[in-house]
Amino acid sequence: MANHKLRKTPLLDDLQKGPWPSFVKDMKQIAVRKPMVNDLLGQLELSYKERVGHWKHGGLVGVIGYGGGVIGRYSDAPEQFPDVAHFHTIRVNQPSGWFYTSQALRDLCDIWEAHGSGMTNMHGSTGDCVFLGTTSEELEPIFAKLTEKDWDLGGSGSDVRTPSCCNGMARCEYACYDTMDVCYNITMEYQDELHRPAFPYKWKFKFSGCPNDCVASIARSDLSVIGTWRDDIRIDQAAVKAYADAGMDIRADVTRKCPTACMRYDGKEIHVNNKQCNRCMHCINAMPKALRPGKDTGATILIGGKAPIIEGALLSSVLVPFMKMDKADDYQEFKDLMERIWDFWDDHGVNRERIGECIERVGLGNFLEAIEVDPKPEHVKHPRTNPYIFYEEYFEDDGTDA
Amino acid sequence: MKGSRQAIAELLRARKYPEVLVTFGAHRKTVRSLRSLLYAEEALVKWRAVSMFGWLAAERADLIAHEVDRLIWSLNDEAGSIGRGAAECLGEIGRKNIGLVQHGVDVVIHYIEDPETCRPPNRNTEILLGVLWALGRLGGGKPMRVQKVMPVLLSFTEDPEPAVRGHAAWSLGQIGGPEAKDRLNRLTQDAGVTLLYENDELNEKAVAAIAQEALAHLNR
Ligand code: HEM
Ligand code: HEM
Ligand code: SF4
Ligand code: SF4
Repeated sequence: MANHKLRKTPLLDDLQKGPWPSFVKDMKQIAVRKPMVNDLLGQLELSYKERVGHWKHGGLVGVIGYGGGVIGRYSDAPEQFPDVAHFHTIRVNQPSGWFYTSQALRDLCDIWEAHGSGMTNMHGSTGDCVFLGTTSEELEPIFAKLTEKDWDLGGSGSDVRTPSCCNGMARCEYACYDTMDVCYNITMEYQDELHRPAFPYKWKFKFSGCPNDCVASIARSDLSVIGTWRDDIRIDQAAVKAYADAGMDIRADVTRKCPTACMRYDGKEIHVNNKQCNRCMHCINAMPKALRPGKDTGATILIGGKAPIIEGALLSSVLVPFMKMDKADDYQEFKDLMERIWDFWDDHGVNRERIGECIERVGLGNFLEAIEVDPKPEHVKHPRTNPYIFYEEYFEDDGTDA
Repeated sequence: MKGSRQAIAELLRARKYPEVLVTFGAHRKTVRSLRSLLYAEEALVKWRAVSMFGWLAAERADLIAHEVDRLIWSLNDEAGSIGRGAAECLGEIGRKNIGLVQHGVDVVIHYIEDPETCRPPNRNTEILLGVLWALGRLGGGKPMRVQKVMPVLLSFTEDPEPAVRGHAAWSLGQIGGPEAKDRLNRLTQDAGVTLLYENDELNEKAVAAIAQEALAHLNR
């Protein structure tokens, strides 16, 4: 059925022999109808043979009006593999929480089948619905068809990357704020920053509803928003008893595993010293029917996470221990903070330096002062036992004594 | 930034550069909005943003000191940005205040020397036109600045795309020199047409007309 000659791929074929489903099998299915995927297999086979990659450094491609959303890729062996001479990636902004109707998925697939390789990545680590492989000529037609169906491109380059969130309140009783609403709100508020790169480097937002952090925001975003509560864990003692009656070893599996040793089970009831609880979620995950996050909920704002590129990998660390995430106020407190951070980054950031690296370079103290956030114990590792922390008041008191 | 972008565009259409700072404040956020307007769909707005960068270079260099590094980087970004308008801005800033773009000149020059970025089939023609235009601005009155790239620049007068020939002709007209005149003479019958930004206005122009005007200017 193919009009083109299918590539021979003895080395790739080997990958199909393992126990897991292989991407080679998937690609071969498409290669029959898509010459582009056929040549992709051919080029990959060559890379396996020669042990070198055959993609060139990215080129500058995009759609009119936007500076990001399309990532240019070119083969360095276009004579041998003409159908992957261009192999650009398109990022499509996914819906909050990745909820699609089947009709929406069909629309996306139809567009991509007509204008690209037919291969997608649902979803990329950035969150987007990723379309893999098309030519420069197809970019504007794809963009026109996407926008006609109310889709939009995501971010790429030195801009706000497509924000993403856990499915939060849509499906999960742990959600401490409405992640999907915040993600949508922030995406719409920062359309300009998302589509038109004007930052020193990329900026990733991710929103998780509770400290389980299902979107791994702490490792994968420059600005992580993780749900939390500031009152007490809610306990249903009758449900605790039901767990015990059903044979759960509450001491071994729950209370003794509390990392801050702030829980106790007296054989009948669970007691929590909430001041010591660091909201690790362990006990709640273990007994969801008996324990729940408190009622005074909001989010912790963390900053600086990134994958390794210039400096090593960083996890985000706490910037604001508790923010209410107030829908009625259109999340203004959060937005004001972002504007102050971006002004600082704009002034002090170096090209290709993420905010986490920038803060390390200028020092946390200087950063906090510039964005008008008071230093807090939560900014420090092990504040209660850290011998390097000196409180200013401590010095003042000391002075009057001597 | 949502509302201000449209309002700044309105001021740019009217060429009210100082008013942009008066209305939106002389701070970095306003400059960021200008950067984002380089991606405007309306070509005139993009070009006026370029002119505004030139105006800032002359009047408020302090506001764009960091911007030059951003612009340079956006011409080379591998993470999926397009440096739309970046070369034009570097050219315009350099024209008004060469001290601000010292190493930027070499980056613009390098862009045009690399066949990968500037020749078919993989080039981005819009970026290339910006680079040609920028070389004209940088070399205008100071040909030494772009002397080393002259042979490459001359070769673009034979490009298959009229817009490329037109911009190369305009650029040569700015820079001048005997080889430039020679090439321009060969373009005086060129039937191609291009959009060209000149004296703060964007107009459709025949390549032949660009070449003739350039020659008249050089022979004056
Ligand atoms: C020159 C060639 C390429 C380079 C330098 C490159 C580089 C990268 C980088 C740095 C990322 C991470 C982006 C981020 O999260 O900020 C990425 C993502 C990705 N790339 Fe590539 N890539 C290349 C070619 C390809 C090809 C040929 C494919 C598929 C056949 C591909 C598939 C992907 C996918 C699926 C992602 C994940 C997107 C996401 O997580 O949202 N790339 N690439
Ligand atoms: C087992 C190998 C690897 C895996 C599984 C992997 C996975 C990933 C993932 C999931 C991301 C996206 C992070 C996000 O969500 O924001 C990423 C980003 C990236 N990767 Fe890798 N990667 C690998 C190896 C490499 C290598 C060898 C390089 C380069 C030599 C590389 C360069 C990058 C860059 C530049 C980014 C973007 C960095 C950022 O956004 O902070 N990766 N990678
Ligand atoms: S991060 Fe928390 S709220 Fe969000 S889905 Fe996971 S467990 Fe639920
Ligand atoms: S959430 Fe974690 S730290 Fe808090 S009480 Fe439960 S197990 Fe302990």
